[in-house]
Amino acid sequence: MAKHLQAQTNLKKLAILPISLVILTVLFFQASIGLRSVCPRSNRFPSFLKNLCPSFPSPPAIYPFLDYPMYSTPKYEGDSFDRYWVFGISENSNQVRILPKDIGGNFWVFQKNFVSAIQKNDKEKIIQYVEFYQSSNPNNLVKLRLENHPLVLSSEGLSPGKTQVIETVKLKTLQEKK
Amino acid sequence: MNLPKKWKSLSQVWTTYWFRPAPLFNLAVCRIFIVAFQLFYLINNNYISKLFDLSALPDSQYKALPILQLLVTPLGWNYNPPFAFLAIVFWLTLVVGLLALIGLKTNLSLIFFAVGNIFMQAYIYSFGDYHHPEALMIITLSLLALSPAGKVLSIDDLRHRIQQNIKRRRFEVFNIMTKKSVFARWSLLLVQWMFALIYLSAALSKLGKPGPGLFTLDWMNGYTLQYYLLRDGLRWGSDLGIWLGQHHTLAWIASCTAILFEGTFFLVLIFPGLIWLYIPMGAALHTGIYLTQRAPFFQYIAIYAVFIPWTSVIKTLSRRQRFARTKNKPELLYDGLCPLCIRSMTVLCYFDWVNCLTYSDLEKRWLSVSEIHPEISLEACREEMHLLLPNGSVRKGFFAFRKILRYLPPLWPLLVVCHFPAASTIGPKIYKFVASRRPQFDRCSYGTCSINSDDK
Repeated sequence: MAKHLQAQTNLKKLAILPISLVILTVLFFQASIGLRSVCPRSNRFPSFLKNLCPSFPSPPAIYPFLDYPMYSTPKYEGDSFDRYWVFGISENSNQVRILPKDIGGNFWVFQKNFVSAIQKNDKEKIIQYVEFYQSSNPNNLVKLRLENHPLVLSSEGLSPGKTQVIETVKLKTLQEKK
Repeated sequence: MNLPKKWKSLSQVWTTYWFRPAPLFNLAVCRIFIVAFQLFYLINNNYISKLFDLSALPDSQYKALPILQLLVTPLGWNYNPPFAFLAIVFWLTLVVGLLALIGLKTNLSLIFFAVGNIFMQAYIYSFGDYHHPEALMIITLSLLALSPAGKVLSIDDLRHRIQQNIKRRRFEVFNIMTKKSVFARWSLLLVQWMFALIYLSAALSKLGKPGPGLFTLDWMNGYTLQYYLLRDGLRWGSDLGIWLGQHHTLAWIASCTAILFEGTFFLVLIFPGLIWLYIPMGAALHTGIYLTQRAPFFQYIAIYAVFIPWTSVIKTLSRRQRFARTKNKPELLYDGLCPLCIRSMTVLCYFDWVNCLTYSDLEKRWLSVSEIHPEISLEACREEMHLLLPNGSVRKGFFAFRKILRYLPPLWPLLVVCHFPAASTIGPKIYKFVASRRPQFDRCSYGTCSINSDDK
């Protein structure tokens, strides 16, 4: 009985080491990635402080360890927020607004991938989305137009800002280039 | 000479902090709570249809996250799983999740449940878009899988206890709430640390400043929160967000509260009593964020379970219940020589978390019981369980079982079934049927079933 208890105690002691490693690893990853926003990276800090910051690829490369900078940029009175609308223009000059569901994604996929592709004039990506759109919509698009319909902030709320055309992409030219 | 001593004391501090014996019950309640929530989340958020939609997108949009690449390595580093594969993962994850919930092969089930969740979430986030709510849940599930989360409140444990009692041929009273382990604390504590780090990360990124100087309070100017409330309110259709976004002072108060909460949440690690302030505040904050901005951080509210000292809470609540305070507890008479009775007592005792009942072996208690209750016969006691209530009345068989349920809150759902119309007619018949077939049910492992047994 005493031997059995002793063996159990030894086993527990043995298990503590790998578990401690798990604890340290998890804490290290979360602290390093989560607190990277305050990491003294810029040149105004002495190099020994900068060296304290482990360099990791940007999230979500080490998912599920993430940083949490959502909603973190300060805003001021008079700031505006962008609302990007994409219009498809067909051969007969009809224009139709393209919504996130039309390209098989949600709001975020639409903004981060599709709108961003138009802004960057990323031809390959734009064509993929247009082809996806046209697979379920009969419109034969010849152009895409990206517009910004901003809203301006005041202490009472929002008021509409000036609509801007950000980019117009000719699709036929793109397909020819492709 | 001093260094090893210092290391030793440091190691002692570490061990005492992370590996202090703690109730396994707390860990098990968290397992049930968190796994149940995640199962609900997977079903309610229609993961299968999300996976289907994403699998229909062109391959060029798929860029596997490193963790997903790791999981699909045997099939190729950049393997893009087809929908059939994803559907199998989804359904298997649900199945192992259910097993983890009830505690069948708990650790193995939890490991597969965690891996299934990591796989699906990483796949969903491999199309150029990722969000935060699920990350902590995935880490929590993985940590639970490495802990003894199924040592109590599980089918595994219940089966083990029944086997033990059957083997030793007697029922011994036990209480699962008192069972402790040195490994019961670390995973819950680590998740608490994760909360502190996550909230600190959120607070510091709001206060951090790109220019000279480390911090700025600009985020709390009221306009910032107004901006985000209005933007998200319009984007996702939240009237409450739009309304709040038009009130500068309210937005200013809300932003100060949010920073105060996030920036000081780590204090709960130093002063655990603060959970009674921070946990309701956190639940209100995340609910408020959802109502105004539609950002669904409900997982966080579920994972707050890791902060609750469940054992103490249940004990405190039970002390307030009249039945638990009475000195004279109801006494349950059982046939200590019958395996089915031992099994039944083990199951009942498993859910008797605050020792509401007294369990008495008929063979040992019969003399004194027959003096107090001359109307009861030994033969009747052997045929069906008898419950002696503090007011002197006696319940038998099905009615004893139904009364017992009142004293065992985890079994209260059964109480509803036992009070269905006609339950008083059908219940006793089912009870008698089961009791009369005790030898078959028990396989009479040591041939001492009192019914049909003349040798006693």
